[in-house]
Amino acid sequence: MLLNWKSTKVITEKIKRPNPSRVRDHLANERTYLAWMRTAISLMGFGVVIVRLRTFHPPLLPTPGNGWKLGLLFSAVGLLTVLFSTKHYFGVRHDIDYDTYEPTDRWVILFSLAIAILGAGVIYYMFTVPSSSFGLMAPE
Amino acid sequence: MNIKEFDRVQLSFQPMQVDDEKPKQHNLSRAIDRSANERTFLAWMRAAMALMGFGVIIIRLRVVQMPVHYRQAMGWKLGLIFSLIGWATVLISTVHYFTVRHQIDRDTYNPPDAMVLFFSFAVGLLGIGVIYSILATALGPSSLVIPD
Repeated sequence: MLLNWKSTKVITEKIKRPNPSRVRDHLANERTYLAWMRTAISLMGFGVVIVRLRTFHPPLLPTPGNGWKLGLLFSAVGLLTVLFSTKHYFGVRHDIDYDTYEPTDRWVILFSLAIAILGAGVIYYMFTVPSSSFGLMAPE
Repeated sequence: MNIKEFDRVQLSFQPMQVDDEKPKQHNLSRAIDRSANERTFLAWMRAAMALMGFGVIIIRLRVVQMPVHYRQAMGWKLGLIFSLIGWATVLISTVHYFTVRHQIDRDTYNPPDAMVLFFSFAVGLLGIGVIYSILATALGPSSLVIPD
C-alpha cells in the first residue's frame, strides 16, 4: 500500500469526474494524517522530556533509574504511530479515489489501548518516585 | 500565474473570470475546497510548531540538568534536529499550499505523496534518534560514548 502510490495517480485522471467532493476528501485525509503525526511528535517529545526531567531528580545518584523506560515506551509508541499513520494515509487515499472508503475503528481502539497503557505507566511512576526520593536515594 | 496575481483575484469581491461560464454550484464547491486547503495548511503549521516547540523544550531542559556531566551529549543536537525539521516543514507546506490552490483553480488536483512520505521519513528518523539518545543516556557513559 505504501509503495504503489504511482498507480493511483494514473487512475485519478479517469475517476475525477464522478466525485465532486474528491478534493475536500483528500485534503481532510491529509489533515487527519497531520493530526496523527502531531500526536506522534508529542509522544516522542514527552518521551525525551520524561527522561530529561528524571535526571535531576536524584542529583547524586549516578544510575538513571526507571524513568528512561517510560520515556522509551512513549517514544516507541510515537514511532509506531508515524508508521501506521503513513500507511493509513495512503490506504484512505486509495479508497477515496475508488469511492470505497469505510471508516475503521481498529486504529482508534489500538491507539487508545496504547495510550491507556502509557497512562498507567505514568501513574505507576508517580507513586514509585516520591517514595524513593524521601527514602534517601534508595535505588529503585 | 504567480502568487500576487492569486491574491488580487481572491481579494477582489467580484467573481473570477474563469467561473463566468460555469454554474454556481461549482463556484461554491471551489470555495469549500479552498477553505479545506487553508485548514490543511494550518494543520501543517501546527505540526511544524509542535516540532519546533519540542526542540526548544529539549534544549532548555538540558540547561537545567547541568551538573550531570555524562548526559550532555545528544540533547542539543536532538533539539536542533527537531527545530530544523519544523522549519523545513513551514517552508515546504507554504509552497504546497499555493500549489494546491493553483491546482484547485485548474481542476488538476492530485493528493500529495512525496511530501507526506518525506515528512513521515523525517519524523521517523527523529523517533529513531530519540530512542537512541534515551538508550544512550540510560545505559550510561561506559557502554555508549558519544563525543560532544
